[in-house]
Amino acid sequence: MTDSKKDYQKILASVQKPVKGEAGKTGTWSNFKPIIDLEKCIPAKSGKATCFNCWLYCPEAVVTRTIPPKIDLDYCKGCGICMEECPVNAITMEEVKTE
Amino acid sequence: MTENNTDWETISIVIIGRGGMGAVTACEIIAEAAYLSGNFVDVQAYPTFGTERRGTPVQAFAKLSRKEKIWDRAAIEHPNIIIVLDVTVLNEVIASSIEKNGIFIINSDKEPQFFAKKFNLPNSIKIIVADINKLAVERGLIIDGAPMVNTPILGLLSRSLTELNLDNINKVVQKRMSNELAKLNIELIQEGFNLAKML
Amino acid sequence: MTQTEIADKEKNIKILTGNYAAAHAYMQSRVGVISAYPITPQSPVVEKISEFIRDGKLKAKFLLVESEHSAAAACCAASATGSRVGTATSAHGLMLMYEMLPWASGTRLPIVINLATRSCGAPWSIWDDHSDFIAARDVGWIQFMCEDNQEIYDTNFQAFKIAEDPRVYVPTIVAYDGYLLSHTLMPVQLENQENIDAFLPPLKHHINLSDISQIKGVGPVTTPNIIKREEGTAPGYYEFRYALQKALENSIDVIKEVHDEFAEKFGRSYGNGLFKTYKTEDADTIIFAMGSVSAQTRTVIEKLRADGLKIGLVTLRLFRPFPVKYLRDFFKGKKNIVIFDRAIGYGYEGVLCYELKAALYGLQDPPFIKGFIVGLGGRDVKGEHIIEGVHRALELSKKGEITYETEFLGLKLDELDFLD
Repeated sequence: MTDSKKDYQKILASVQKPVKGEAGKTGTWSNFKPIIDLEKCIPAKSGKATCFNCWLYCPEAVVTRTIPPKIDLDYCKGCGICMEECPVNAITMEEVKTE
Repeated sequence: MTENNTDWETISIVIIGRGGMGAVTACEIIAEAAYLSGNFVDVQAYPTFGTERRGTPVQAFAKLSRKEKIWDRAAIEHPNIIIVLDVTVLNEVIASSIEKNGIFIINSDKEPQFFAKKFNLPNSIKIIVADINKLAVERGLIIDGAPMVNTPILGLLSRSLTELNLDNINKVVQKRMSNELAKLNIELIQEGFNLAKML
Repeated sequence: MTQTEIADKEKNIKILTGNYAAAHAYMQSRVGVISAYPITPQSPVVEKISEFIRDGKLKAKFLLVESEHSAAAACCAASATGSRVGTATSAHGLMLMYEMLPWASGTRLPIVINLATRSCGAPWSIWDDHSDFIAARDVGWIQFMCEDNQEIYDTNFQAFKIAEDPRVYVPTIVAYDGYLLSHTLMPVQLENQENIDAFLPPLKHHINLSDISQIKGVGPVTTPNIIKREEGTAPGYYEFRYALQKALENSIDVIKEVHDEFAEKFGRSYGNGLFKTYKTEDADTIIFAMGSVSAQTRTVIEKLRADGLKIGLVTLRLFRPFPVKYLRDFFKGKKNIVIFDRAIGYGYEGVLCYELKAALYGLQDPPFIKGFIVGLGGRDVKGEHIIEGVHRALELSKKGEITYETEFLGLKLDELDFLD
């Protein structure tokens, strides 16, 4: 048996360092996933680093600030805020099919 | 006039006055001076617990112990010494609470006999009176328009409780006040000491 | 007393209220952050501290906040940056802090609260009893109750040292009776700063959020199970709370150790650091109390002994962790215990009473125990009440009669003119 007197002294505050997916892959929570229409998306269309409303407003920080923007579906919870914020309606929410 | 030394083991003191007269400060000075004198191993001073306002009747308390540490946390029921800063606050209930060999110290222009008669005090109770108000007004010890009597009256106390010692009271006063104010206070304490009329 | 001794006294002994004794202790502990909200009878503590800061005597940050809850939250945050943190409060102030108390203990932040005890409303009362103190019982804090102003001053240094010990890391409450100590001046021996610094070195904290090279969060969600991930495993809530409880249980050794070190360095001791005994050597009947109630009891022990009773007093100093083992050892073989409580576990009985009963469970030939309620809301606790309680308890003991109803001493129902 371990020395429990010493063991408990090593369990102090619950301190969290930022790690990806602390609570697992939250992408599995979603019923809808966003699809970007690159024909309409401003940075994709213009090739300029501009707009990025989807990146700015995403509460889960799963949208990249790149041309074109990419969405990490492993952690996207499918809230649809990016769709709401897109000024050119380039984003649509597609239902996730479950087997 | 004999300076009888009181031989109570623990001396309980109540100062009565009105909010703003410095009853609490006076008790603090008594406690500190008593402790400095080396004649008391433990002292306490405390205000009326609760709220105090300028002008309302207030009481402040001190306990001085010669031999033992003071563990008593209960209210003083029968004080050995009652110091009256303002006679309009003095009533039957307070006057009759004094211990049977107690000492009354009163700021008044009346004679000691007046109070003995008014409150029907037995001979065993010593009464010391001086007109500290007049003294303070004459010498300009006035703060916020009111004569300060709380420190000068301590001269009367040291008259009856010689162990307290004027020097110690003066030392504490000096520590607590600015130089000029302390000087005036100390002079008045001495004059209060000299003015005392005893019964 | 010689002249030099008197001179020494003038230098080191100050006539202070309990509140100011606490403030001086905070200053000399070099507290780094203070956040508090005023409440009677505590307010003079933090008023004095802000004076110390203004006068440059204490280099600390005083955080002004809008409530006690915010004060406690600010203290937690400040402590997590590695700073030594203290605050003070009373009654409803502590109750408003309550929500933050288990956060502080669960995050193992060595914060110290000075608690000038006061009754909890309604009805409104600003006067003393121990209701607030016992209300903070089950949130994982160490709790001390002091008996005089010197003990307040001394216990504060010990509290920081205990709370900050790497074997402990548990926040601590130092309590003292509101008004009876908080507003009463008594001589307090102040120690010089050098000696205090030697006794209480700077805090070495287990968290330091001020180090921004390491981005961390404190107190995130912990799941019912432990968390397994690539970076390693993390404890669940259950493991954290196990560790807190074990830290409290084992802190008793540290508390004794720190107390003994203090006693050796400064020449003042408080029993075994957990409780104090008075005239107990030959006693078969023991009075058990804390704070002002115990102090008042000291004034009548001699009188009771003169009446032929073999009676002594045990003053509880450490309320949490409850020093069960030491109390069991002490009370083994005693005949009677009379307990005076200045607080009730409402719906049950006096708190010290049921706590001690539980602690003595299973002792052979257990002592007869009878508890009384005294002094709620600042009702004067007089020596005569203690004497009355002792006689009543001994009478019951003689008859072997165990009563379950609480009995209040010093009630004045007969003076209420609307009662028949």
